[in-house]
Amino acid sequence: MSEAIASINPETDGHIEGAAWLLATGRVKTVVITHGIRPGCIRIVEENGEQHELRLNSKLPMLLNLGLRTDCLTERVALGMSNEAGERINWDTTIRELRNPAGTLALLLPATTDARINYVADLLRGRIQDAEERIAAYRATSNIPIDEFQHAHLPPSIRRHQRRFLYARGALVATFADGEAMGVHLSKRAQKLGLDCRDFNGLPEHWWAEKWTVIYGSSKAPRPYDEAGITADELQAIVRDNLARLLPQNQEAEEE
Amino acid sequence: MALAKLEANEVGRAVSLLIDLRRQKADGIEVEVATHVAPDADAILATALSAIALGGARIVWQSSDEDVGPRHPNRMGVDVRAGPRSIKGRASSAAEVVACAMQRLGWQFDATAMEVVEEVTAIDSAKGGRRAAFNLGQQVLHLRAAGWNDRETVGYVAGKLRSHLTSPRMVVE
Repeated sequence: MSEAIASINPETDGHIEGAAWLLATGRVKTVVITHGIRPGCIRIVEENGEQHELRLNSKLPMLLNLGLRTDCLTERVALGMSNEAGERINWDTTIRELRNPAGTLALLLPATTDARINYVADLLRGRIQDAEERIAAYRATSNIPIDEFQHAHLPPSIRRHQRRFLYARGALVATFADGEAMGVHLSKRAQKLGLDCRDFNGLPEHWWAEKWTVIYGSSKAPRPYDEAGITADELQAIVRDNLARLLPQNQEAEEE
Repeated sequence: MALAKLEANEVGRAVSLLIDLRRQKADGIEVEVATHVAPDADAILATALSAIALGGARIVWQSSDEDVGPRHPNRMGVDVRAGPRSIKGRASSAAEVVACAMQRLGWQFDATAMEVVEEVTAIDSAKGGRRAAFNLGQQVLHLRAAGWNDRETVGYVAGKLRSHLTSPRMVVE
């Protein structure tokens, strides 16, 4: 964590989210909002006393200004400028919403500048952590085999919500046993094919069953993992058996 | 809020629970609002609204699989399994059920408060369409990742929301 200090003029457009970003990324430890520096730039004093100024492009939002200066994938993903593979994307609503807060964000933003900077910094810290997790999940799922039934199993280190990376690679159905929950989930494509988890045989009856998922345990309803009734390997075998039974007729139905 | 689409019995139960707990609170009994662990936007908002309606309450965390029953006569549950003293809001959201109950009790919600309830209902019922990057659900997750505890988040949301609600006795005809 840097001990650097940043100074920003309060007349600089986006000074609040800019200050929050510098704090959230650990680029600086302290931000001073001061008229002692001219608008449109950020002065950073490093631990060793070196000073430098970032000149901002006034035509760009503050966070885009700062995001364009970093090669850190996590930061670019957090700002919605890159996807998890590092490809540049049309920046999403992240930067725009922080520039013009509305709705719940506007409601929850504190009134004073300092408190507002700290609140936005906390949101951005959460966003950076989320980006780290997504990038790790993307990498961890990129080599997971998808079987002949278009089923894939998430490794235990990856939270089940990251199954979308498997679906993006063509999986139809995902199973998971991430230490918090165990179960099967159907992609939207699988549901459109007519698959319904409630038609699956062999899964323990005390699991929660919906059309799109059968699941044991969750963050909202934690359960003892050793009472799931089956192992992760057995879960995969059961799901494959069910897909062998259910998929052909569903695929035929889709072709018809 | 579209009352018609809500399960009327859940709104009715929420009204009864709020009246019951307000009465107990007036008698000096500590009242509690229970919601599920790892609360999402609905749990946070429903708990915050209930706490506002009760003029303050102790927050209790439990599994969303459990209801609240007669064993806890000083407690109401929100966004947990529906039961004698708990509401789930499965057809909409627990927050919308509590908000409708509060409106029946004379509370007024301004446009901002209504917008938050609608946003959470849209998230909870997966009918949100394009979601804001910083909707309440995302903010709750980000704040938790940044070290906020969930009790702190409920208190913060309640504090921010309070000025957008007018309590029954404050309504000027």
